[in-house]
Amino acid sequence: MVKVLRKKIRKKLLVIGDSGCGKTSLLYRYTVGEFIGEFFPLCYENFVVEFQIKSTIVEMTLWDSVDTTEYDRMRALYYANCDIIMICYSVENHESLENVEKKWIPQIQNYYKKIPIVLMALKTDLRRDPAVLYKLNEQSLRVITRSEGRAVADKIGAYGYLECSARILDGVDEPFQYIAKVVYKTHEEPQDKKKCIIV
Amino acid sequence: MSSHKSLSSRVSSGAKGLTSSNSNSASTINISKISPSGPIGAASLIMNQKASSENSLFHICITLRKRLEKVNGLKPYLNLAYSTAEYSSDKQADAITASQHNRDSLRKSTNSSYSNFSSSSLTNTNTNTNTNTNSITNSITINSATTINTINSQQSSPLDFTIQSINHNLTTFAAGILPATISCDPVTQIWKLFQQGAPLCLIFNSIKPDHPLPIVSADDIKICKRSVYDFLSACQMFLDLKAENLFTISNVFSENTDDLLTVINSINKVLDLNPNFSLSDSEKKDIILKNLNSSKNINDSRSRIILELIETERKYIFDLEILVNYRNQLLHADLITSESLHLLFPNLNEILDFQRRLLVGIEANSLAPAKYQRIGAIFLYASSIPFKAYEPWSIGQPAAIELINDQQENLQKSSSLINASYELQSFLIKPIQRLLKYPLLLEGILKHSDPAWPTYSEVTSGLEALKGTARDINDAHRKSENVKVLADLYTRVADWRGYELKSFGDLLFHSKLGVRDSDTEKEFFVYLFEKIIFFFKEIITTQKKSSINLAKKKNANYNQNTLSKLELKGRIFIANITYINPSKNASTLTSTLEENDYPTNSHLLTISWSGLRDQGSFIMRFKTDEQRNLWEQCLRNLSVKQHEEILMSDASQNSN
Repeated sequence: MVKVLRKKIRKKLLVIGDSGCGKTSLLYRYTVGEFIGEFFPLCYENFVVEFQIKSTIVEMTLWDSVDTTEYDRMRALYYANCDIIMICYSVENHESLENVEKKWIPQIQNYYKKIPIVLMALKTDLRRDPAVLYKLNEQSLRVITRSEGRAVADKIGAYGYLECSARILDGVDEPFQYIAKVVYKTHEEPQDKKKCIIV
Repeated sequence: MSSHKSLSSRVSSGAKGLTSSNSNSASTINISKISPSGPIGAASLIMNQKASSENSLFHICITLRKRLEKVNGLKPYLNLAYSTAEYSSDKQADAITASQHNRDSLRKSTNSSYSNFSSSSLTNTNTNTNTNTNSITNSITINSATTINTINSQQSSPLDFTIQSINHNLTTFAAGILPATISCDPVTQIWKLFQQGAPLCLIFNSIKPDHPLPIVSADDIKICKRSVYDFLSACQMFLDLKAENLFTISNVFSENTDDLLTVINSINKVLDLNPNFSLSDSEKKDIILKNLNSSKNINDSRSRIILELIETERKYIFDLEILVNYRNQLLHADLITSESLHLLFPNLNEILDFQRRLLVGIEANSLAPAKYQRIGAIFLYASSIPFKAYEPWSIGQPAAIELINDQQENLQKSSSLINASYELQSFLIKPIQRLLKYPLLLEGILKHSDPAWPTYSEVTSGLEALKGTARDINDAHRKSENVKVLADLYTRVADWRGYELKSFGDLLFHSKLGVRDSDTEKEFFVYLFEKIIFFFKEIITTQKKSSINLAKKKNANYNQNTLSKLELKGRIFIANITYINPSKNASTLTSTLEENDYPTNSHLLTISWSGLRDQGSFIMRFKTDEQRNLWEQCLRNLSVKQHEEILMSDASQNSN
């Protein structure tokens, strides 16, 4: 066995967003594996994944969250010692995107003045789902496009904007690789260079 | 460090399903110079390990029962144990139903009161008394065994939930109520079997027929204990089993899952001595197919959620057991004080013991047809008392996190089971995460249940009860945090202008808010007590405010070292509040306060008051909708309570 001395950094990613927008499915799909049929899991355990970036190992703990409305004190336990936050929304749910600014950013600001944020569009496969399109059309709505999502990401000063579909396994890995890079970069760079969210 | 093995080996031995597609797609992106090598589940980490169904108490007992059926002459004892267990199950179901009724009627008359937990209830040492370290020779005599039993049951201290009190009403190892189609659970049956004593002797005789023990069947507990004693001595004498590998008499008669597991492990070891008692592969398969909620039986959304509930519960219990092992290693290394250990794991044993029973209850229920399953009843029961054990755990978290940071070196030195620097915190939060997951799971079950089923209403009330438990714990959390906030407040305010804080009840909420009662909005530190709201102005000293970067790595909600001084600027008595109105936007404001340029993300609450000499109103501006709703709800409750109290005291004065 060859022992290589590598630098190891340990980071915590917290995934937040409206309930039902697909957070747990994304995390489950990324680390645990396939869904059984069309069954979407409800529970996700904290899980650690590792990345190698140059000579550094980035060990990242993935934390799913549940809707803690009403449980504000217990929520603080989820937010403790975070390094990066992923806010999720679903492309067929306009409210979930509105809540990014309305609910989640203010919530983050309760705990952090400055923390890297990534905005994540989920369920992108539904953009082509006839049933979903029909239903939205009836309410004279459309699915949320990439540029609409990106606009919100820019507005909240997010580090990045990504999209994926956990169901058809499209773009499930990239967000986490991207996040690994972000935490690696912010770890290497001095604090004041960090891009910050608009307060 | 042992975790620095080659990366590829981690993937292969990794937690299931870190599929190769992950690493393939990793090479397709190259956003910057850095190219991450795809996810590598850190399999060396205990956190990522999966729990096997074979570790569940339910499964362990079914397997053991199958083995015991092969022991000659044991059938009648198994049958007797079955009917005793059945009787216990009925008794438990009756007791739970009755106390549920009592609670319902009680709730109507009184408001639920908070239990008095403070994060500083460190005085209870959390020693692990009932472990297998008990040497058989110490407690071998029947008399001393009974005294041990009584000592154990007297250990309860009033502040801490003991196993006895959280398992209130439980006479079996399955929490809650079994479906009508199931008489008893296998765990209770196995427990009752060993308590008969004689079956143990039969087991011994089938292993060592040349030194047979007398078989005495009796109802008298003394005779039963005598048989256990005979078995234990014979095992040491003729089977070369060491005392530390065996159980004690008190283990057999204990109501604790740890003790039961100790007994079961020893019995399995004894049975291993005779190959006739091992199970064939087809028998093992049969157990899984018939008695466990295996994937074969999963055919609809509801059963999938039940399966998820069971599988994640197994994993949760597995994690709690790891925590117990970890704590024992810390205890052994003797670098962490027992106070600190209690701070890290306030009532781990109680939580683990109950969760095992909860899982037995769920697994037993899962075998019945969906409409008979009493899943709702289980959680209704769990929320009634047992889940209150999560309160001290939750409240202790901030202190535990602090301790981990302070004692990192000693923790690392004491045990490598869990990495203290970053893994431990993820472990300690698990009970809280689990508790908050139950409502989600139950919602799923409810969604896929038929409202016509007799058990349907149980699921709705179970769900409500779970949410109530979480709310209670959250409130208790806030109260415990407020103890420190209140102490800080004393020191931050130089001049109290004659107000006695003690006379205004508990501190409930506090925040820095925008408050306007005239034209301009000013920022105040607002403290809401049960009977009064105080408004303070921050006294800005020349010293610069604490650095923004402090917020990082330190939860901004916990007070930082430098607290500014406050000046008391105003107060409103709750009793004088006449009107509470949430205003989403400024248009619904009262006429005196004209519409103005509030930022779009404003969450307002208008309060009107009327005192003896004057009256007025003001608007508080909150940062979030949730915060506003919490204050509003709280103020409304307080206001009603205050008015009731005034009416009551008026009435009593009039009658005098």
